[in-house]
Amino acid sequence: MLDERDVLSIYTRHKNALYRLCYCYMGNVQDASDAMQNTIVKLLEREQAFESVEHERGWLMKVAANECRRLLKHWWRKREDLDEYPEYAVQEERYEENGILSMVMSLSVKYRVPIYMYYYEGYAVAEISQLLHVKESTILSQLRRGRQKLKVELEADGDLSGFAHRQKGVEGK
Amino acid sequence: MREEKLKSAWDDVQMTRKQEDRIWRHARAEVHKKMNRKGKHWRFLSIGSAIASCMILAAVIAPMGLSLMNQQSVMAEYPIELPESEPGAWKHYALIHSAKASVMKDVNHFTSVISVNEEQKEIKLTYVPHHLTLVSCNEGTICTSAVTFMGYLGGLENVTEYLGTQLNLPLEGSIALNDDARELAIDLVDGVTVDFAADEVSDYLNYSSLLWNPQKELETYPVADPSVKPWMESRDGYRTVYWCDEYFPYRNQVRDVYEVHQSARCIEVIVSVFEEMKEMKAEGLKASKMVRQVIRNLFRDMEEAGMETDLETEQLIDVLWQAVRDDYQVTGVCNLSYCDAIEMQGIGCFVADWTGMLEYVAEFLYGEPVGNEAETAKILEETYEQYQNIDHRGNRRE
Repeated sequence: MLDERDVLSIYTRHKNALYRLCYCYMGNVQDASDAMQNTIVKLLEREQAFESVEHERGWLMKVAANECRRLLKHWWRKREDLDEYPEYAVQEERYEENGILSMVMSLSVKYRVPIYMYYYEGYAVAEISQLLHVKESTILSQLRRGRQKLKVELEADGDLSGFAHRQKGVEGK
Repeated sequence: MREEKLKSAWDDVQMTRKQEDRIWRHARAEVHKKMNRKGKHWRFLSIGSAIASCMILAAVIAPMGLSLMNQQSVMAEYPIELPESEPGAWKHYALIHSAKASVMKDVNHFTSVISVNEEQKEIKLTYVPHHLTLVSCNEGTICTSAVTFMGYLGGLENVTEYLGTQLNLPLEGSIALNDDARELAIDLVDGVTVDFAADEVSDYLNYSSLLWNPQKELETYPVADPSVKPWMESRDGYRTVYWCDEYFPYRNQVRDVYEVHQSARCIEVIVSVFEEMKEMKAEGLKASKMVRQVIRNLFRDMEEAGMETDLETEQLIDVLWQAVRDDYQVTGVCNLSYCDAIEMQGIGCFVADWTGMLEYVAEFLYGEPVGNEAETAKILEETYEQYQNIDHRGNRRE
């Protein structure tokens, strides 16, 4: 296993990117923290050292994405509507005070994650495809559809400037 | 402007210092706990390793025709929630197919959504990466036999041909879905592709060797509140015993589903033992020698009939006893015929021999509770007869 001090410094290096990815998937602070914690558990259990910082980051992003998807598929999420069990209800914390984040987070996971990775993290489509184990064509179409959906939101909000331009740029990337 | 904002939209999404510390502390504690648990439960892990070794061995000898320990599970779930493409007309059912040929490599779990339009007597099939999908190493391949069965129940005679035409797919035993169909399926349930790594599979296998130990389940997969059982009763009041094979890592996530063994007789015996146990429980007794003897006889009969099981008498008793203790009810049992190693590669036989399963499926398809016994029995008899005339590839038997 990796030395705990090494893990701590890796955690410190990538915590923000990881946490944002988890939040992007899970949509609230509590679940994002759970996913994050599980990712760190996997990191603590890892046997081999990383080859580079990029390797570290790529591995962590992949594990975090898998962990989020696993949590999203967890039986009790699928099966029970916790709103019907007020005794278990937890006040979910979110960051959606800023308008654009709130719009993106209102999209389905399959659109908002590629949008986050593409626009915010600056990953190329091919890299996102690798990290998420999804075909490039699928990522492209998810980005396209996500943007279309966002456009509708933005139209409603009355601000479209700059968005269409970037849209064109994506395909060429 | 908006694009710029998009680039900085997540700036505020940051952990507090307290949150960071908590995550780090909890993660460390979790790893230490796991390490301690491994030490304490070496017995279980040894059993897990032994089982894994046996299965790997089975995978090696299986192609030679000795299909030792292979087992296929076909499970049906309650209709999953899907958006209605044409409201009121289509009903969607999920079937999960899991064909296991070996531990690490050829673990094929497939889920398909079968959409039935009763008015038009049409059935659509879509492949869906499902939360129960563990590893799809033959991704894009699904088992047609259970679908065929469902199709017949749905009143569509030539379901295989229909599916072939509809999805433009080859009519071999396995169906390879094209990208459009997959995309459709993914869109349909907003699903995500599952991509567990091989070492994770191994973890799950070790974990799953902790057979039927609720406390361990909770420790391994803690839920938000410990008073919430992983097998909470479904909202419509069904509680079901599920006797999945012990390698199936998500068995406690499968509810309202019953399982699966190799012969009708086996299921009959198990159900009778189950009933017997319920009476014993009512009388405050434990599983008697007689019950053990009945199960031993069952396994012996199965062996003589050339069938194999990877459950031991005591394990089966444990499973049933626990179910009895927790007041579970058998609401459906499906029986699965045994397949040889070649057919295990994504194709299998699905034979519903026990009325319970048929009732269960009929309730889905006919959309009403199984209340009218005479009517239901008639439907079941007809569909069962129909089904007996089809082989596992969906062809009508001569």
